[in-house]
Amino acid sequence: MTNIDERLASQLHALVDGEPDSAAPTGMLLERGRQARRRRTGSLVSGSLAVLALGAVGAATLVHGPASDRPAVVAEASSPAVASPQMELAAAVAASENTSYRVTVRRTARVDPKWSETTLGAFDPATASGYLRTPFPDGLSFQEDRLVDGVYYLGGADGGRKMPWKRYPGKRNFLPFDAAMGGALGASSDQEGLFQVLKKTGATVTKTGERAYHFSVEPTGKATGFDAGAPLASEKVVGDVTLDADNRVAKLDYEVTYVWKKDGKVGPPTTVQVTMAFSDYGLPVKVEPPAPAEVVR
Amino acid sequence: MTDQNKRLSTADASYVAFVEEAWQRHIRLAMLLAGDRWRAEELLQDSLVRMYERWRRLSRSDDLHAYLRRALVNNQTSFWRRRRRENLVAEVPDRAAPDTAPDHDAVALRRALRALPPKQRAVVVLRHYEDLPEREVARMLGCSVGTVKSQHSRALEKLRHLLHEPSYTGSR
Repeated sequence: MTNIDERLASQLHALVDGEPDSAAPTGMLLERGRQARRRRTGSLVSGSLAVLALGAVGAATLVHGPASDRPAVVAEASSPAVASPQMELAAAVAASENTSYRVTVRRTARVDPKWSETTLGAFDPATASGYLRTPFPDGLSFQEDRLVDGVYYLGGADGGRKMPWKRYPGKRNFLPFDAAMGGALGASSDQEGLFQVLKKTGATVTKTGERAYHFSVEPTGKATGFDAGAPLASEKVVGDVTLDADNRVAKLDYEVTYVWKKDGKVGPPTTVQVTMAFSDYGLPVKVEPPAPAEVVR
Repeated sequence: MTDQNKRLSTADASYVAFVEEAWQRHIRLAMLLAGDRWRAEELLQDSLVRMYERWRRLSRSDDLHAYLRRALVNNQTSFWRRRRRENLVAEVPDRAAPDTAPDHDAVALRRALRALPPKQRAVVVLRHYEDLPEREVARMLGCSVGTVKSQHSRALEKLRHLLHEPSYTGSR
């Protein structure tokens, strides 16, 4: 071993060897392990955070009936004297979700080291098909999600190295917009929807302009998108929705703030600023299944 | 055996016994891989939970600690996992012992390690902290020895730049 190796080795040991021991959380690990085993034998669950459902999927759950019900929902939204801001917003989201669209998602973390990234994508709820592509700052890495007739694929490149595509079991009708939201696109009765979240979490929605709404929600439990074992103390989402001239969602801006806990103590908050811009409603979305793709079990 | 363990199945009891030993043995490796204690505990927990899912098969295996070490490295360098987790967890401030000045060298090294891409960080930690040969590191990372060499060289170059260390020349 050279002197360089010895110095770096000694510095690495000095960095961590003095750290105090901590008790292994065996109880929690057993619980999480048992839950994980149960999940593996069940169907794939979205795990989406309700906030993305707030933005893109959520209001679809307002539409419980067949498509012919949707015009009624939209009509209700056009009667401001009758509809509450929540219903108007939900109807607008439902109108946005009934057809294909392009989406740009920009995420910015407000912690050190700060980062930001932009995802470009498109989705067609009618065919459960779409894609998301996120390039990373090194210029070589990227992540790509594809959904083809409900079958989900994940691929990309790490540095200059192409990652093999993975195909996930089951069918789904969403794409994960953003890790912080656990997100889902598209209409699905399996998703925690906007209206359900507003009801369950006591969220407030206020109208701030002719086609603008402000919302604030603190999801809990499964609505956070994290499992019960995650050390999440709280999650809060505050944001604004802007509609286009057709009363479809044009822009969704929000901040999601997480507070984590450990050993009964809470840590500093983490805030991610997310902006989603929707456009090109109704244009076709063509996505091909990647080949080859290894099946994830 | 504690009263709690008496109520566990044999498999769960063996898992608990392994966890109690493995936690102390691997938390520091996890800290170097993950960048701070919070993320390290999360990384170690996630890796141990995955082992639980496969425990019945794994517990017949010879070297559970080697398996866990590979899992830590793979989970940390996992492209997909990293995008989710590193986005969400706030950086925990470096802790200084009371009445002592912060160790600036330690702070600088910790930050420099975190500035390395996960795979380069894993190579540095496995080579210099775990003292593993290149062949073993290559096996753990699922790449060639040549890739380990080049990742190692780039990592040392970057550390040299970040730490103003003229002597990290990557000649190992």
